[in-house]
Amino acid sequence: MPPPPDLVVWPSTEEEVQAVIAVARRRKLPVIPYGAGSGVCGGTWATHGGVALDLKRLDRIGPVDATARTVDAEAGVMGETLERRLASEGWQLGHTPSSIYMSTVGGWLAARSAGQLSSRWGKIEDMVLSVRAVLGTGERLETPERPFSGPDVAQLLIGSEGTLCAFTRARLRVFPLPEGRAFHGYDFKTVADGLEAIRVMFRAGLRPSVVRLYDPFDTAIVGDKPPHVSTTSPSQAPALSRELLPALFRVLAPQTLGRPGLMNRATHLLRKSRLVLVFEGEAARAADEDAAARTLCQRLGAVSLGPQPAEKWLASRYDVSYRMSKVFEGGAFADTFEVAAPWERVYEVYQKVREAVAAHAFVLCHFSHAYLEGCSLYFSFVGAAPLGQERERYESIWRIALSAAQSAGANVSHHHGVGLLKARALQESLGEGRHALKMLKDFFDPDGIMNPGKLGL
Amino acid sequence: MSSSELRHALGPMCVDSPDGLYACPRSARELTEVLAVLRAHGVALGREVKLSRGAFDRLEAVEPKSCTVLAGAGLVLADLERLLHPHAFTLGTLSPHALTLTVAEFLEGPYAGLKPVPVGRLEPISISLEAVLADGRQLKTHFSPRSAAGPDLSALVLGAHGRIAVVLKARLRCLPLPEARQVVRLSFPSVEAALDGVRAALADGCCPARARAQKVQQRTVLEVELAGALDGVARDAQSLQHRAPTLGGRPAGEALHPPATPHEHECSWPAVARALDHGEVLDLYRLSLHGAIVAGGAGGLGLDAPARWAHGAGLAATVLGGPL
Repeated sequence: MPPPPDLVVWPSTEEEVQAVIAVARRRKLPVIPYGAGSGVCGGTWATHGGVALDLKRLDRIGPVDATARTVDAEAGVMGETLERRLASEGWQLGHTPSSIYMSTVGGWLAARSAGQLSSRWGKIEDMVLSVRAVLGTGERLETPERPFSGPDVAQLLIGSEGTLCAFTRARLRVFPLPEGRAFHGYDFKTVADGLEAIRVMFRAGLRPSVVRLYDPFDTAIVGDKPPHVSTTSPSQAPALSRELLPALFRVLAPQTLGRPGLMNRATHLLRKSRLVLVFEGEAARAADEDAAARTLCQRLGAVSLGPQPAEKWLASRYDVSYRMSKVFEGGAFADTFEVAAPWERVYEVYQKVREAVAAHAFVLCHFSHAYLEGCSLYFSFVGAAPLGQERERYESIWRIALSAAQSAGANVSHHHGVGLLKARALQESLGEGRHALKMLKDFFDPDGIMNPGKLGL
Repeated sequence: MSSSELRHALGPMCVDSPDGLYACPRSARELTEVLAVLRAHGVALGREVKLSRGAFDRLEAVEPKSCTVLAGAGLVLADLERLLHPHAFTLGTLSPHALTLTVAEFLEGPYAGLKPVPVGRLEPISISLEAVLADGRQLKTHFSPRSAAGPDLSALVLGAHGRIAVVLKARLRCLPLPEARQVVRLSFPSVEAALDGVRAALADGCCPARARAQKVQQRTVLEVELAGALDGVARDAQSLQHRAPTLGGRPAGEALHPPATPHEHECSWPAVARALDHGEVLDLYRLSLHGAIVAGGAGGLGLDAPARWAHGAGLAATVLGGPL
C-alpha cells in the first residue's frame, strides 16, 4: 500500500492553495498535489508524509470562447466531466486518456498526459495555451499566451509532477465536435509491415485520430468478437464467473504465467498484426483520408477488415484498465509501461524489450500515439512468481524492460510520467542535464517541499 | 577588464573582428572553457565578448525514416534548406526573415523555433537539442517524438535568447519535399469571415504553406498557398473551399500584390484582423490557431530584435545565473 499523507486538504480556490503552501513552507511540510489518483508510477505517494493537496474542489469550467476556440478549466475538473460539458455545447478537447473517468486536468498537466486520440489532436502539452499555478515559493504564476517574448515557462512546469508547483487552472484549445468519423481495421502480415504503414501514412500528411497497431499476441487477444457489454454487477454474476473461474485461474497462473519463456516462444507461431484507424473531423475529409489510408495499407499487403475492428475498439476502449484487477485476484501480476522512439528505433525497441523480459513475464505490445517522427510503444507484461517473490520479480522486470528500451533508443516515458518508478531512469537519462532540472527545482521550490522524491528530485 | 586581457585569457578560442571580440568554440568542451573564463573574469557573453557558432555549420546526419536531421547551430536556415533538397527534405515554408537566421538564432530568438503542424498546432522544429548551460554543464535532450519524462528542458533554450543555455546542435523535424503546390484564392464579405474561414480550415487539418490577405473594396481577399503530397494538397484545397461558402466566401480572381514592408511580427488573429481593417496587405506564415507570423504592417511581437520577456527573466537571472 502507498504510504499515507499526514493530512488531506481540499482547497476550493487558488488563494486557499496558496495559503496551504505558505503554511507548509513555514513548517517544512511536504505538499503532494493530488488529482484523482490514476497515476501508475507512484507520482502521488506520500513517501515523506506531509499534506495531500487534493485539488478536486477546483472544479469550475469557464464558457467556451468560440472565436478563440478556447476554454478555461480548473485543475480539479474531472476529464469526463470536461468532455461531457464541452460536447453539450458542440465542442471537444479531444483528450480522452484511458483514465478519463478518474483523472483531472491538473493531473494531465502534471504528468504530460496523452489521450487515445492524440495522433490528431495532440498530447496535453499541445493543447495548453497557458497555465495558472501556485509555485513552491507560494507565488502565483500565470504563463502568457502567444505571442510573447522569452522562454515558454508553461513547458517547464508541465510534466513536473507536482515537484515545482500545483496547477490551478489551464486555458485549453477546443475543437468542434467531429462532423464525421471513418473507422477501419487491417491485418498486416507482420508487425514491421504495420509499422511501415503508419510511418508512410504520416509522411503522406494523413492524421488519423486513433492509430493502434497490435503485435501478434495482442492481435490474438483483441480477436474478432464483438465487445461484451455486461449489465450485471459483479456481485450478481453467476457463481461460475464469480468464484469458480477465479479459483481456476489461481491454480493455473503459476503453471502458465509462472513459465513465461514457454508462452513467449509459443507466440512466435503468431504473425498477424492488427491495425485500427479512426479518422475524424469534417465528414468528407475524414472519408477521403480513410480512403487514402486504405490504398496505402493495401499497397503494403494489408487485408482490409472494414470498420468493425475500429468500432469495436471505440466501444470497449476503457475496459482494459478494469480487467487488470482480475489478474491480481488470481495471484498473478500485470503492469504496463510505455516509451516513445523515433521510427529508426521503434522495431528494435520492441524486439529488445521482448527479448529482455521474455524469461520473466509474458509480454504484449501495441504501438499508438503516432507522429511523423516516431511513435509510442505500450508494453503489457503479465507474470507470476512463487509466494513471497512476487515483488522482487515485478521490480526486476521493470528494471530489465526499461533498461532494454532505453539502450535500444527509447525515452523514459511517453505519457505515464515518471513518479517514483522511473525516477532513477530519468536522472540517468538526463546525464548532466539533471542539473538543469535541479536548478528549476531550486528556483520554483527553494524549500524542497513540493512532492519530494518524484522525478528523482 | 581590458579586451587584450580577455583575448589573452581566451587564447585561440577567440578572434578579433571589426565589431569586437568573438569567442569561437569548436566543441561543447571549448564553449564550457570559454564560459569558465568569462565567469572567472565577471564578463557576460554577448557584451564584451560575442559568441560565434561558425564552427557548428554542418549538416551532420540525416535520418530518413523519422524525417529528421542533425544540424549545427551556426548553419543559416536558407543554406540548410538547400542542403536538405538532395535528401528530398525541406524545413517547410519559413518566412523570408527566418530564412536569413542561423539555426541558433531561429531557436533561441523570438521565433522560438516553432513551426506549424496539422490541426492548427505549433511545435518546436527541434526534436532534440545539444546545448551548454550557463554553468558550463551540457544539456542534451532525448531524440523522441514526445515525452512525459519530466518538464521539457528544451524550453530553457527555445525563445530564451541564449540567456539560459547556448545551443550548439539541434535535431530538426523536416518534411518531405512537396510533390505539388496550389494557390486557392477566395474572397469573403468581411475580415472576420475570412479569418474564421482560415481558422476552420486549420482545425480541419489544412496546413497552408503561407497566405496573403487584403481588403479589396468591400471584400477581403485571401490567397492561400498549399504545398505537400499530391492528394494532401487536393484535400486541403477542398477543406478551404468547403468552409468558404458557409461564411459568404466565393472564388476570387486577381492575385494580390505583395506587402510594402517586409518587417515581420508574430500576431494573434485579432491583431491580423485589425491590420487588415486598416487596409494593410499581409503575408502570413506559420499559420496556426494561435495566430501567424505576419510580414506587412501589423502590430505584434517584433521578430527583428529581442524584446522584453513577459516571463522567465527571473529564471535566467536567478537560477541559471552565469555569463550568458
